[in-house]
Amino acid sequence: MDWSIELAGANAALYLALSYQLVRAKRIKPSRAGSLRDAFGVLEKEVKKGMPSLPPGHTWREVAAEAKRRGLRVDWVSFGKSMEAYEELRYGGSEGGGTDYREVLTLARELERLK
Amino acid sequence: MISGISGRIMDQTRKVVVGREAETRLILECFLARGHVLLEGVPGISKTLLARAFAKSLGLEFKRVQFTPDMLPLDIIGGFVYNQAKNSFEFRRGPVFTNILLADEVNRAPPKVQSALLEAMQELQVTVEGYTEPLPNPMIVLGTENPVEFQGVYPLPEGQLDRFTMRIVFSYQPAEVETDVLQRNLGDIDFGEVEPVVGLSELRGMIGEVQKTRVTREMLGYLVNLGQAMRSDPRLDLGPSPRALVQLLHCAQARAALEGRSFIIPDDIKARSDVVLAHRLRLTREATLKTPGTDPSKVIAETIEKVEPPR
Repeated sequence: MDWSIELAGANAALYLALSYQLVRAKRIKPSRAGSLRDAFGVLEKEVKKGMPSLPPGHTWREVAAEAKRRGLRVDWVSFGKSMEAYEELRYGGSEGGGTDYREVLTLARELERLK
Repeated sequence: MISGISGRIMDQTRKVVVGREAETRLILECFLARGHVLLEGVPGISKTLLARAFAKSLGLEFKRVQFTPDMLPLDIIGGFVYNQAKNSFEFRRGPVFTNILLADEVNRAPPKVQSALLEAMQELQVTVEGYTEPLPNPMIVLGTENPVEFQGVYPLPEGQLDRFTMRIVFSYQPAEVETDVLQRNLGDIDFGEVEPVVGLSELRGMIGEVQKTRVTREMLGYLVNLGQAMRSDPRLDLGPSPRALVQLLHCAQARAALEGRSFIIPDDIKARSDVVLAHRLRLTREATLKTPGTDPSKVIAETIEKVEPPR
């Protein structure tokens, strides 16, 4: 009897921990960022919270360099392509459609975990 | 197109100059930005060597003038001489009529000569006694200055420093590179090894391409914000002029084009702020005395950290 209560308690703790992690991981859903521009908007918010030491004059390339220095787990090749596409969209006047921006959100999630 | 040519030029200059890739790249950027460069460094640090190799790799006409205190403006820009056969005066061009002019120790010349050269640099033409002749296109002046000599020199005033788009400081090389320099100099340096890798029309095309590099209005606003932040910095007596900001913009365009982009990003402006602005800023006496170690580069670095770029 005693051990079954303990087991139920352990189960409950395990499920709670798993649910918490799941909720954390899904907090930044792709649906929150419907476009490349949105994805960088999400990242901007996370950068402000996760990298408070970055000065206000930072650029996206500096954010990437700092994140790499901190060893955040992001596919940097893919992130680099998204960043270049965003730069073309933001400063080069391109449409920027059809670009994969999953790694931008991965970096945002990684920064959220740092908090 | 431009980024590939840059690599070819580097390959050529590397044949005679060891370890000056960053400086070569800056000179090339300045050339493409239609600017002029002030090379600062102690004697014997390969400023002249690099200038010659750079000119040769571009296949352009190169002239060198050693500036001295007894020079006259006509020694640089030229003047009218009497032609006995024609019984008339005719204009004889000075050394400024070239594509690349190395003005060695530009601060040794008296102010009148400096002024004549700097006017020619600015207007890209020479006017003598009402006669005007344009300078070759393209044309770049590489002026050199020795920062440790004070005797017998006429330091360039701020207004004239402002005409130089960039100041590139040549520092001593790391020990390993300096060993390579010595190794290279065991035999004679053969400039014949340096081959021209770009044609004149190609160069003009590159300059045109740089001019077309896209700049958004927001990016212009960022540049202005940087300039205004520096002008209102209490540590500075003199901030960047509008001309300085225009030249910074042109250099950012050249950097972007050399990196294979058709538009500039904030990193281009940040990366070239120091080399384009530092020689034009003047610290207040208070800032110099009260906080030793403060220099224009520090003010620039702190300003670009504070001013938010368009993201």
